[in-house]
Amino acid sequence: MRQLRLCSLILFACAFGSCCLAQKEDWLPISPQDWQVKEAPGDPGAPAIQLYYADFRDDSRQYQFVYRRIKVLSSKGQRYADVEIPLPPFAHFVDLKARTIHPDGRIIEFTGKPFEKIAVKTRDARSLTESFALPEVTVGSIVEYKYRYTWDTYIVGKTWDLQHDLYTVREEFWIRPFTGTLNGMKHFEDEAQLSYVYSNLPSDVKPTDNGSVVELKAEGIPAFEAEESMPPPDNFRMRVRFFYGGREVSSPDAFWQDHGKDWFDEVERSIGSHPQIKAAMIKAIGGETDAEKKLRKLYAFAQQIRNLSFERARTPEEEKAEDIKPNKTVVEVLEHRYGSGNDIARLFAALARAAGFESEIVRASSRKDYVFDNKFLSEDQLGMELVLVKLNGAEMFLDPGTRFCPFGLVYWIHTSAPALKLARNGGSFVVVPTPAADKAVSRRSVMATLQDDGSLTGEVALELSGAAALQLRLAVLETDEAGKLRALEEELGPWQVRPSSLKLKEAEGWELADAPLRAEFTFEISGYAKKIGKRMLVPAALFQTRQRAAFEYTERKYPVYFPYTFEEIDRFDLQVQQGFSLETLPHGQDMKLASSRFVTQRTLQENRTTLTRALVVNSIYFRAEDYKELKSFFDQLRIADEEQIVLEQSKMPPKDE
Amino acid sequence: MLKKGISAIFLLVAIVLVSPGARAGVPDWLHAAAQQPAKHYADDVNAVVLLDDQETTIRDTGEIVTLRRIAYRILRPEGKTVAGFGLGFDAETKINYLRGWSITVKGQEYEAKDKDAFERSATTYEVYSDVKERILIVPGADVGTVVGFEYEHKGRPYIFQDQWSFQREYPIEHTRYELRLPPGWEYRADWIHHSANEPVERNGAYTWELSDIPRIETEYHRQTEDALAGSMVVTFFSEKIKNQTYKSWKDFGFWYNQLAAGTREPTAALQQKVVELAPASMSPLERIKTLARFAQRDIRYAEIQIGIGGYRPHSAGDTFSHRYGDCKDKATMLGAMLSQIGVKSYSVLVRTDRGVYTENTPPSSQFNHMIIAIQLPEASSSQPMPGVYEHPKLGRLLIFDPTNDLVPFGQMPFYEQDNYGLLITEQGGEMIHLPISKPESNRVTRTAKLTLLPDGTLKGDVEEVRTGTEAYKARSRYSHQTESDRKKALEQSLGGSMTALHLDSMDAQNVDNIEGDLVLHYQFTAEHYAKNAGPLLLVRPRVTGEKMGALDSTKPRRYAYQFDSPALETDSFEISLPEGYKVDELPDPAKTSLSFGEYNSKITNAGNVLKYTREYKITSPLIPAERIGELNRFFREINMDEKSIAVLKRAN
Repeated sequence: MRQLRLCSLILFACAFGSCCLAQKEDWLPISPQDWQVKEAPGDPGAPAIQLYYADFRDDSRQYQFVYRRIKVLSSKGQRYADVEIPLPPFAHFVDLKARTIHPDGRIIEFTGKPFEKIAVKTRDARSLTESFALPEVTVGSIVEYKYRYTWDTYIVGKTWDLQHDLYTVREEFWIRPFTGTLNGMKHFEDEAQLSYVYSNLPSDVKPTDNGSVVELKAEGIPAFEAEESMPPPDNFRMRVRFFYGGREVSSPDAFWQDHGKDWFDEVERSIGSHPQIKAAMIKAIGGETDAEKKLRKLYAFAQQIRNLSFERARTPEEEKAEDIKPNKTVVEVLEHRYGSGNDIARLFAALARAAGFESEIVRASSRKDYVFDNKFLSEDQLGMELVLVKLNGAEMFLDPGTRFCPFGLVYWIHTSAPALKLARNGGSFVVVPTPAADKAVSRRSVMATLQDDGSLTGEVALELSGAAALQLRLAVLETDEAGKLRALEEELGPWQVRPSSLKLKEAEGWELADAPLRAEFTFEISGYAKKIGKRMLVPAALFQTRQRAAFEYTERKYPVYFPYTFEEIDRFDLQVQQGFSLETLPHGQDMKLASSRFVTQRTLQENRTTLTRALVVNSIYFRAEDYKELKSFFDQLRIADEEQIVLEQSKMPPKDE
Repeated sequence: MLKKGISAIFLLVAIVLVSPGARAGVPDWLHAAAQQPAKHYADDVNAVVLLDDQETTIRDTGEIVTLRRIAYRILRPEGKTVAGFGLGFDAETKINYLRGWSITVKGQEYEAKDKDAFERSATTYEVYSDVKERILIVPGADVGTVVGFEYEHKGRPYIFQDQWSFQREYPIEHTRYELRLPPGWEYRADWIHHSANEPVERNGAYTWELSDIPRIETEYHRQTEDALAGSMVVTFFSEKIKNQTYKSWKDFGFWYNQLAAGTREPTAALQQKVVELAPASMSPLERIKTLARFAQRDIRYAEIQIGIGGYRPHSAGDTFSHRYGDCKDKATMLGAMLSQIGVKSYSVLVRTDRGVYTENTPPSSQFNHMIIAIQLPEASSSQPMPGVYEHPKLGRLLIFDPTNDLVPFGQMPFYEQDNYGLLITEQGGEMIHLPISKPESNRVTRTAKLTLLPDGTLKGDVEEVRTGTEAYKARSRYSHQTESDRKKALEQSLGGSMTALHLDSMDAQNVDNIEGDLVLHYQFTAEHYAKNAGPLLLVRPRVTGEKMGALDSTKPRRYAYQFDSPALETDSFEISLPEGYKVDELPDPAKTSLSFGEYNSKITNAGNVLKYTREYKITSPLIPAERIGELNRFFREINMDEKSIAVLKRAN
């Protein structure tokens, strides 16, 4: 990789700055307020509180200094006296000082040596963790320790994480940049410069740069605690990230333009213009004349190529044994019949161009673990390639590099997020659109008969299409038939009453990108309905609400996030035995939010009730401020799912509510 | 303890990081194993051990050399983790070599040599342990691939014993254990969870062989693998080295006494602290209790394990001055403190998973915890304590765990109850059956006064009082939670059986005061709790507290089912009915009584109040496999009762 990685740069020149920051690293005095602290603000019951945290780094003098002061608030907080300090690779751990201070002011110095634990040791390298236990720690004690680590030939990456596992009363950071040139820089002749980006900081906190150091001070920073069904947590942490580089890190625009040019050149070299591609295009299209059908055929052809991105990682020895080589051009992809997802995307773009379609490569982000941040200068953010094709005058995003991704759909991790459309000048950012909910449909159809004893027997058909099918197809790539069966059972959803027997009749469509994934089960549930006196109470829905986990708590701090928009469509046909008649049938409901809706209907025909339920969620992101409304919506859905049909044993005509 | 499992993610990362060296010859034994005809296994068997061959050679110096060859066939993608092999070692053990190979379905062969391995500390919860793990990963891990490893290590064990563990998570097709002893040495083989087999003796070597050993399957609430798996413990004896071996539990106790000699010697500071904490003016029992509380609460648990430190405690003085130590340090220090007030106490070695040791277990060193037996003064006999063991010679011994700071003096953690422990006295070791508490000692008493509104909303107050094991389990959760976490946990728990729930208040009392009952009060509002159905209102009287245990009734059960401890739970709920509604139909009472427990519930109507009462009692924590049918019925009845619905009808 030509790029300048944060996590291990070989120092090329050691041009230290002329003066060092005379930052005091002595023990700090303990204030009366420190002793008075009894609990963490806003988090009563927290086991400890971090009174002070310091992180000072001088890249010219090649050291980092860390200082932590923690007050133990409960017996469980004593664990903070057992300290583990993971070290970056190739760092030297020095100058450890640690002590315990009792509430009466007595100081017990740590006089031992830290233990060295091996995190990983290979023949070439090792990474270590230093550990030690502070003595005589009681509830109310303050424990503190400080240390440095230094390095010889590497600059280690840097992020300031303002949020720790404890509430922090006060914290300070500074970094003094390296000056000179660094080996491995993209523009190696440039002077190294340090740029930074910050996110989620309190409004009154931001880094300041006085020209020689970047500093930050903060007070009252709560611990970070992720929530169920929130967007990627790393997008919500208070952080400052630093990047070394040359001219390209002078601004985000410069960075992405610089990389965009490189990617464009690389892609165009790979795609080129080759007669073999044209020949393959002609063969794939056959006699087709319709533009969309032609494009579909080329897409299907490209997706037949073995996609190595969706197989397990292989060692060089395995690649050699299996004769797997890197593809330099799309012709090699064609010849080898295998490639990475990006290779396949480029092949498709080449085929489409050969067929006369305008097609460009788009470098897409993945919001699976982190939502793209323009200011975060890491080209790893845009690792995957999509193809933007013009069809009948309209642009459409296609994702041939994702195995099983149907024509017209983009794998959800790339959608609703920026992507860089490559061009000779570096390209421009576009947003990969969010598909509508009808592009991810889960349909459950149940035909069942209620027996006199309250047991239920029947069949359930599950049909997944679009993004819902793609998600399951990819999830089971690394399992076998038994694993697929379990995945299908889970996909059915949680049952209102657990079946005593559930058998798969058939499943089809695992390997088909464009067709739905279907499965049929037979089931039996003993004790589905409850007999009480002359009545039988029957749950009106076979399955529980799937989204319960996101709405378990009254309060919420972060947004609710679904991976993709979706629809759930259920139909439950229930045949009731002779001898029972309907006493009450639940009302149908229709509930709407701005981007979500559910509709339930219940009808009766002779001895058969038909219950339908449709849920449409047409947004993936719901603000924390709207949580109450959203929770109420899903609570109502759950209430509807838990309704009961009341049957009477005597033969009576159904009552109209 | 070594962590032998290697996670799939770790494996994936490691495969990329550590790429093995050149291809080389796969040994004949692995070729032979790979050529065995494939047998049929259940579809959830991830891998099978084709061969597990171990040769143990004892040298006259006491050094033990182990050569082992093991071959797996990967049956499912989930079985790919067998391509990574972890081998533990410490300062007393040397790995002479570790190699691995694989043969794929396509016939490709790979080799990973010693230099391809990587190491890591095997530390998990310890501050430090000198135990490390060498890990070797072979390429080609796909379904159908046969992987094999061979290693040789030698060591000087602290105890002359070896264990042939021939039953684990994967089925084993063939396994062999060969023992070579120098002249003058003897051995004893003890079988655990398997009938004894005689070895074949040839050329001075003893060989045992077994075939087609089934795996230990995963089942809800079964005992741990070590409590179920078959193994053979081999103990070696020599007149030359007597102090590292034992023939009986009694000998084991002598060995430990020798090892721990002097560690209970008090320092002046410790003596001073005893005087300060437990003056003679206190009653004898109060003095014991105070010192026990000190060891339990004021000495932080922190383990530093180096060499023999895995067995031998630090001195009482060191533990006291550092104010931290591991289980044996805490027990030793408490023993030293008690001796200062003239109270005798004895170390007790245990396993924290019940069932590994029984009255039939041969002497073997698989303990992972130390507690203490305190000889109680005669005057304390009037005080009932569930943790008291009546010893025929030593009298009333209070079994006390100073490591567990959430269990009150007089009680024992549930995982030590009905368990076996090695009591170590001046007369050596003695395996004793530790006491078990009665259901009445482990209570949950839940009372609720609730009001139902015409729209189905239910609101009101609930009080839960917990004692014994039930209090301990709740405290274990609470002690790691902030108030906000506790509220969330309660919302999550109640939300399982109530929709649109709002927790109006919550208050937990005596979380830190472990001598008191743990009391939880809360108020809640649950919208649409009762379901409107025309003129009817359908209400589930069992509002909260699910008691049905997890049991998979779709598959035959192989192993016993284990509850944590005996328990007694009683619920008493009163639900005031909305005006204008009267009870139309009530579910029948439930009553079940089996050999291990009882369950009964009743719903009555008094005026406009619906009363739901029930009692759930577990008398025996271990239900043998042959009684699983009864247990299944027991749970089914509870489940039916918990979902029962009362029908209310609007008056015309």
